[in-house]
Amino acid sequence: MQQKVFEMDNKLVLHYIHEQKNKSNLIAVFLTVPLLRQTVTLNALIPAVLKRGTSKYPNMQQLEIHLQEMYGAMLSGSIDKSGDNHILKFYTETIKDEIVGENLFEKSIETISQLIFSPYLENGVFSNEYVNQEKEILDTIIKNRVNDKFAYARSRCVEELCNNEGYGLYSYGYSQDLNNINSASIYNQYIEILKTAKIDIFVCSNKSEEEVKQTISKYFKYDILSQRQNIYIPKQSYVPVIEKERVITESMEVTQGNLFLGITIPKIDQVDKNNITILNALLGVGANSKMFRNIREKEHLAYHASSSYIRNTNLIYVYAGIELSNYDKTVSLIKKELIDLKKGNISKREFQDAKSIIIYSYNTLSDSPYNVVNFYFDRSLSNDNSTIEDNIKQIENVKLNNVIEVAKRMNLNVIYYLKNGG
Amino acid sequence: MRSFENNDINEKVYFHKYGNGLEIILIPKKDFKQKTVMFGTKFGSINNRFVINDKRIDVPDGIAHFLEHKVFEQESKEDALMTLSSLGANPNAYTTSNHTVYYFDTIDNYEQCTKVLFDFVQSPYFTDENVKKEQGIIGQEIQMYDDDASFQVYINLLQNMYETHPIRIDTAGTIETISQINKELLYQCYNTFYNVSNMLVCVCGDIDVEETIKFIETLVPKTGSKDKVKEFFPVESKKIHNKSSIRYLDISTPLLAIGFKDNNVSSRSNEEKIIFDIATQIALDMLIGKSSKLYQKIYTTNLLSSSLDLSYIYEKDYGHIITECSTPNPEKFVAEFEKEMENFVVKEEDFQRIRKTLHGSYILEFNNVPRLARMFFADYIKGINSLDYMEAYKKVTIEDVKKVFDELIKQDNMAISIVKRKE
Repeated sequence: MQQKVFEMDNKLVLHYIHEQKNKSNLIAVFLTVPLLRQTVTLNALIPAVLKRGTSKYPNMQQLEIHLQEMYGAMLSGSIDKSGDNHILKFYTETIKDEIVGENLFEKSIETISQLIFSPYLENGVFSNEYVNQEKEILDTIIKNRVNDKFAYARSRCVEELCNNEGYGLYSYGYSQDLNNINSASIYNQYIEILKTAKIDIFVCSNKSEEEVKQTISKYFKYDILSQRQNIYIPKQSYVPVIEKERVITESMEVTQGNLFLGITIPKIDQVDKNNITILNALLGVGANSKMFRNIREKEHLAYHASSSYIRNTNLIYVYAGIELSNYDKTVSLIKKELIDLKKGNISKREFQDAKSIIIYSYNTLSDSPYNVVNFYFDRSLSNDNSTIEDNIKQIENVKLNNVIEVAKRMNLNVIYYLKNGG
Repeated sequence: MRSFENNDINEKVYFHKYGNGLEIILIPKKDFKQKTVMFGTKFGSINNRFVINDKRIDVPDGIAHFLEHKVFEQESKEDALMTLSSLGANPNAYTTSNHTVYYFDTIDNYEQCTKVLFDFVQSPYFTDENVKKEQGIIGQEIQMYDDDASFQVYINLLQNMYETHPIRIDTAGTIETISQINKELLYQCYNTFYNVSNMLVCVCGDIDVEETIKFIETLVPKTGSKDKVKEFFPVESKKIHNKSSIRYLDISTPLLAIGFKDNNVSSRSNEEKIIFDIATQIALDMLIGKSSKLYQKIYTTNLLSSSLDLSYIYEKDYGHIITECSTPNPEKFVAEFEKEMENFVVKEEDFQRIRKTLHGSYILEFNNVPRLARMFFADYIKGINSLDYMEAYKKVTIEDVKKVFDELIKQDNMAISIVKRKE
């Protein structure tokens, strides 16, 4: 699925994706700002406070009733990070008008625009009650980070890799910041975001280009938007390159050890990213990867053994959930896999399989509007205008020696291990 | 071949039974790139006791799941997962309480992948050595779940609700039960349940129905087994086995699960089951869904620290509600819940609105090829045609919802499970 991009009034960017086969229309609005230590917690609170009510539907119950009347329209707001960017993500999905005989498309655009730009206010700022409750809930979310041991260990490994800066920040922020946040400070940050964020609106729908443009223009008209200037330009992550590896161990009461190896690759360009995508697939994506075949199937050290490449931050993490006593053995075997890749011990079949798993994942994107939206958005963060089809071609064109060349530049920076101990 | 269609959403599905007893579901989805092919058997974690030709057999807990892992292994040494991945497909398998499925999603090489799928599922290769290896891998899978608080709160709830029914056991079994598994037991289960007459196929995507039916027929034997296999379950008491439980794990905010055991599933016809399912979802949403009074209360008093999962599941002979969330104060949460439940009044306006909402979310299921295939497959195992839900959303009445409160959502059926950190 291709997108058409339009620069709208007030520096809003509209991405139109014509889509017919699904039962629903999807609208996404993404506000991108820098990911900084001083604003990370404030930003994380904003979608939570906005979801509490709009000027038209001033509390959650009324807003929810409105959505239910639209055949249970989905409306969400959340926080995400990519590269050194913090992103406020809002989505709404409604059944296509032709199925239910109602104009849900237009209503959903009106609702999502009001959710973001016309919040419920008291004395010109957010409601104290809402802000205080959302602060408490956010505090719990931050503390709950330890509940999911896999996700916790992964985010700790990334934190260490990035030296607690940029992408290394926890996207929900930090409990100690919450004391100093009040309804005025969060409102000021919200206004700052509306004025300076990169704002992308995605519409995946069977409506015509003209109708979509008109509807967006009609419902994204707010005075505050006319003050937009110095629009934020997204940043790629800077991951400090430390050639020496660091071992970090933490203890909790666990039955299984969570082992993460964090890898960086210095000096890369857009072309390298495709090579690294394949390198990572060789290492740990799918049943034909080195991690799955060797760490799991041959050595039986783990049920879950894989690796992931974070494209906009340019880091790879390798994962294995292991028996506590197998730490040394697993680390040395994974290191051996890394050396094998550097030496180019890669069979033709492995190389072809790695390519096909990546091509498959690009090909399936177009069956899901969510995935298409996130693909184009993620590429826009690195100023990359390529289409899904372009990416498939680029992957097809990668040569084995390109992959070995990036493999040689891999640095194992962090070995993070979450083990047992109270 | 039987076909069913719904004009509101413009969807049509087909069911067919071959001479050998194999059944197939076909769901054409025009213009979608992905195709999903599923091949599975009516053998799941609850089938740990059964009767073949009047002889009773007991097998270790977790054997259906163990078998699922082992079926991929081939005598030619190449694991079928690898073969399918090389063809560009995304293969996997899963085991539920009452079925095991092998499947792949693919864009290219659909026919070739289907041949590989049918070939490996029908050619088992178990050795002492490969069974021992799998005990190590599944052991790690079991330990992963030992540390998974949301899994623990769920399985403990099932163990509180059920006294004897095998739904209370973990699909993967335990380290102890899987250590009893050997190749002879695997072959015995395989030969009993992996016979085409006990199996089901589902194909979803941009397919030609007639051609697919013919093609699948070339991949299976002409005749099925004549053995009579009967499911065998201990008699489950109508009472809740254990009212509540607490499990200690190293987590920050406690997790809470509240369940209601449905004792009347087997007395309902298929049509009644669907209506009861929808009415229960509506009842739960009215009671504690986002637009309810109770939700506003627990949210604004900081009794809710996560999203709230509300679900009702039913199979042929059992069913239950499970609500799950993270809360700083599980005891207070339960007290608020009980207070609201006991005085709850069902209102027409709320009923109509929530019925519409759930109808909408059902329609969205048709957006995703793999998920749609799984829904039809799982429903078919319990004798249900998923498409019948479409009309049932229109037929359900407020009286049906009131019945859910009379029959199911009440103290006698309620059990609680909590996971928190040791103080």
